[in-house]
Amino acid sequence: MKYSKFFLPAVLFVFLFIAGCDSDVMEDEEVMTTLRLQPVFSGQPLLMDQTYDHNGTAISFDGARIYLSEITLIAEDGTETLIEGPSITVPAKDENDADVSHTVSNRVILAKHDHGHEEYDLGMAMSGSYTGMRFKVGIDGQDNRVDASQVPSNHALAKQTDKNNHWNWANGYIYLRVDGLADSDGDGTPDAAFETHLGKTTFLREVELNTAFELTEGITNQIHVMLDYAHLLHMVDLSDPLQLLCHTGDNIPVAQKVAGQISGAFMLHGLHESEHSHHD
Amino acid sequence: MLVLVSGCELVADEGHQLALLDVPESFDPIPVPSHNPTTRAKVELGERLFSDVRLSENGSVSCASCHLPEHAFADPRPLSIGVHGRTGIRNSPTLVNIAYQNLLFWDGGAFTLESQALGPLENPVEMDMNLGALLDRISSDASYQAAFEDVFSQGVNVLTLTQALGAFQRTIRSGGAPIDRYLSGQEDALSASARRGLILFENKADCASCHSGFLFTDQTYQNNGLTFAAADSGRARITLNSDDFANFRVPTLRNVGISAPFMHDGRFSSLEEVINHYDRGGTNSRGQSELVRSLQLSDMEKADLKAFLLSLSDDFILSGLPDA
Repeated sequence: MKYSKFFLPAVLFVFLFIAGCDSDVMEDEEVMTTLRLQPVFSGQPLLMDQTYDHNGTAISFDGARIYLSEITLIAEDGTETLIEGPSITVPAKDENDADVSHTVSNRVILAKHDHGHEEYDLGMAMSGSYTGMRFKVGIDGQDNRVDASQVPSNHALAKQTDKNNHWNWANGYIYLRVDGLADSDGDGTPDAAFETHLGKTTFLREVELNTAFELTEGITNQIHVMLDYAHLLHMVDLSDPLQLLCHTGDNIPVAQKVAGQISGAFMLHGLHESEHSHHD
Repeated sequence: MLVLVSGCELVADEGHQLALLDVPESFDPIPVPSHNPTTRAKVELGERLFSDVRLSENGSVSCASCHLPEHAFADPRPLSIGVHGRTGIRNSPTLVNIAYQNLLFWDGGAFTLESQALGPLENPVEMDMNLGALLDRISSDASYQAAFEDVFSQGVNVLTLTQALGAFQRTIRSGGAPIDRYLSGQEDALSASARRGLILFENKADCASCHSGFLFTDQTYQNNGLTFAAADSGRARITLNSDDFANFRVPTLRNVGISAPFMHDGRFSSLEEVINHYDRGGTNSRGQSELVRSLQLSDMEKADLKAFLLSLSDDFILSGLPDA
């Protein structure tokens, strides 16, 4: 077989052209991304002034908050992107209770559903196809051993001044707190206080949501996740006085029940274009 | 001033001069976190906050209500009483030399003096104060507003409030007890009975196994064989480890002569009761430390031990910074 002297350069040109086109396609751009963590109760919007039926017991809510951390987006090619947040360096204790200075760099979200907050900035992420996301419910490791009183007030780990997000009698964050009233006498009116506060490393849970989504250029991409508080509390019998109060260490059985429900309480609903203001 | 001044921690004065946070030579320097340097103005602000009843929900209780200076900043009542007469489940411990304490509270639940301050402020049976309301209350006082601006160049917030309280508490210190003078060479600082008590303390009674070092505590958590109350699981509440059930912080023995009652729940009103408890070998309760065993002390030995324990009390206790 004989080739003209132009054949090889032509093949090379065509190859480079195709490769160049491919490269354009693969060169993803960073896009603005938010997380909408929508609170629901059995599929209905979770509202603070509403009564719900919880396994036959009327309940209402006045507190609903949850910490998410180490939020990771999982790309189609297996690449994982840990979302970073504003970096802070604060005093902390290490595992041996020695004083250390610790830097928190991953994005931490304190979702205040009792304030109606649902949408949170995740910053920039690469556009493209993703197979899902992963996050922790709670604060892990050294991040959970910082001195909350010394965290700048604009950070999610700062000591909150309305409702506690941090034990005031022990180190560590309250990963999840649900407060409200439950009907104690069967008249259909919630009247007995319940407090479900989950914390401590033992009850830290990782959630992976394997639903595909696409981050698109030119818009602010909102990853829409639903959190069903009915599912979270499903195993807790709020008609039982012994299950009304749980601050983790004082009611391990209830803490275990709630922790066991965390993974199934989240659902990745889809991806939308963000239209809302974002909270921290 | 009776405290032996020589081992010293340098602290910044508000005029960026240096003052001395004095401690005896036998003490380690007072640890001061780099993020919260001690300044005179900050300590004074913290002292004012410490004594201010407006820090409680109904304006009836201050930090000083349960940490009385004349009782070595401890509470003479077995269980401390908060707002509306609410009673807690523990005795308020002494704050003297608290800067050296690695973890705070009887169960070690708090990491730092700064974060510790939030515990009693928010506890419903102590000061029951909503933090947001507290910050509003303090901010509305022009003199506080000016003081916070002066010290921190910002208003009152969680960070500045806790730093001021922490800075003041870090200055509550003592180290001028007869035992300190004895250990520095003044033999007649201890009576003959107290000297015999010292030998018992370190040997037959073996108190020094836990009550060691210049603070007379090794800062561990032990189950000292008390009959326990189910309501208070001690260190286990923090660690969720059943091995820590009914373990409580080994307290400093400094100033036991003026800081009764004793134990985490203030159950013993006198040193005699404490000595008798250990002499009996505790109550053989669940998880009791092997270190607590029958001592079979004679009446004289008990009296000697008490004489020694009384030698751990200071002539007076310092708080705040020395005059410039």
